[in-house]
Amino acid sequence: MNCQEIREHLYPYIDGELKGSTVEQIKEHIANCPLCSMEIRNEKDFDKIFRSCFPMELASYDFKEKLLEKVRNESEKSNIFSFKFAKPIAAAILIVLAVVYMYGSLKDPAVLLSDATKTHISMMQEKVAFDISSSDAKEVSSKLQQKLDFNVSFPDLSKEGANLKGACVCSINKKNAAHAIYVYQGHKISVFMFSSKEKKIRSAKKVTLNNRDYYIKNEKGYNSIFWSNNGIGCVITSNLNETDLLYLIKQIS
Amino acid sequence: MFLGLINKSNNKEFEELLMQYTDSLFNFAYRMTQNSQDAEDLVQESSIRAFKYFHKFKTGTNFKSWIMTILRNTFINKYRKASKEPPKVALEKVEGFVPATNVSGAEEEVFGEKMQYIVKDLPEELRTTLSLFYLDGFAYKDISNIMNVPIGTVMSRLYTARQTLKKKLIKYDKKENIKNELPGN
Repeated sequence: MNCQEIREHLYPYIDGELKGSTVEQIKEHIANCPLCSMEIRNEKDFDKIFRSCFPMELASYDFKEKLLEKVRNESEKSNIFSFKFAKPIAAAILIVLAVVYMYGSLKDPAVLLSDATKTHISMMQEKVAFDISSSDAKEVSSKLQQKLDFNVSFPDLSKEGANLKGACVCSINKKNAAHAIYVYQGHKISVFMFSSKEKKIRSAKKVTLNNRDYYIKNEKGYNSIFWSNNGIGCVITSNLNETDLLYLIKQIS
Repeated sequence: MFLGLINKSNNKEFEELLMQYTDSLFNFAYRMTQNSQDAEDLVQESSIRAFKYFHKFKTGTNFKSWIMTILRNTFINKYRKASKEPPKVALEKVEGFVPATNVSGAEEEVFGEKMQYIVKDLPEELRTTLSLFYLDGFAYKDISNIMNVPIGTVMSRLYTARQTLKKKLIKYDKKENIKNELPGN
């Protein structure tokens, strides 16, 4: 590298922008060239002087504080902006969910099972008066039939050990229903019959026996099982376990 | 909720980075605007702009260079158009050049003022290039990004600025020497 080439690379060299073999070549040249060596030294001195002439202008503490406050205000503004849209969107979603839930609740006849459980509990608490006190299933069915506009036919389960104690008319899902009481192994069992278009209860557990679907739900410690047969809805409720109840249902069916 | 936490975390990160470089930003803004009030306004406006676009900043890259670029663009868009630059200092007012190697104390302070006057008289592009290189310690490539010009232009501006400074300093040194040699001095 000659003196002319050194001049071409002078500032990038001083400024630390050169790398590799070029730096080595320049170093080698200036080690043997007092003229270039002096020029580089002068330039470095000038840089040093120049830097010393311009002390760092520092921002005041008050300004920094004010700046931080401004940025935080801006941050709050952007949050408000996002909330501005987030709230109506959230409200709309809630409304849609509520409508879907309400629609689902209306369509889902789980209330049948809840009503059955409530009525059974009332019967257990002796709040229900039996209109018909008889253990004859045909007699009970016949008397209830006079009060109701659908076919009422309670089974005789005495062979299975379930004895009929009496019956009355009650309300299930705001409709008149026949309510018969059996006692099986010391447990009271309510059997409800009513006119029903519902065939399934989505929110209840489904069990299929002999090609028929049964829907089971436990509320307040009582098991209720719903099934449908030719437009007649039936519910059996008791504190008996599912297996025992399904056994009895199998006999009824 | 989750998005809110992310935002909060980003805001905190931005605040920390901003406070880390506020002095550098102010210094750079001061070199461009040449007065404290305009420099503060410029830093504030640029910081708000940077905050709004912080989601575009890539973590791990040079925040200082990124926000300096925003500051520089803000200056070009607003302050330069408003012609807020102070009137250029008449060269005649600059006193004689004293060789730096021999100065100390009060003389050094006077020399520093002379140098500052000369720099203020430079075109804004040269002044800003000098400031970014000498005072902020940026490499050519960073300056090229901040000023949105090729590296060759950065090198050329630095060269021109250095040569101009030297010529002016030498010129006034000569003038002062002549004045000193005149009868009555």
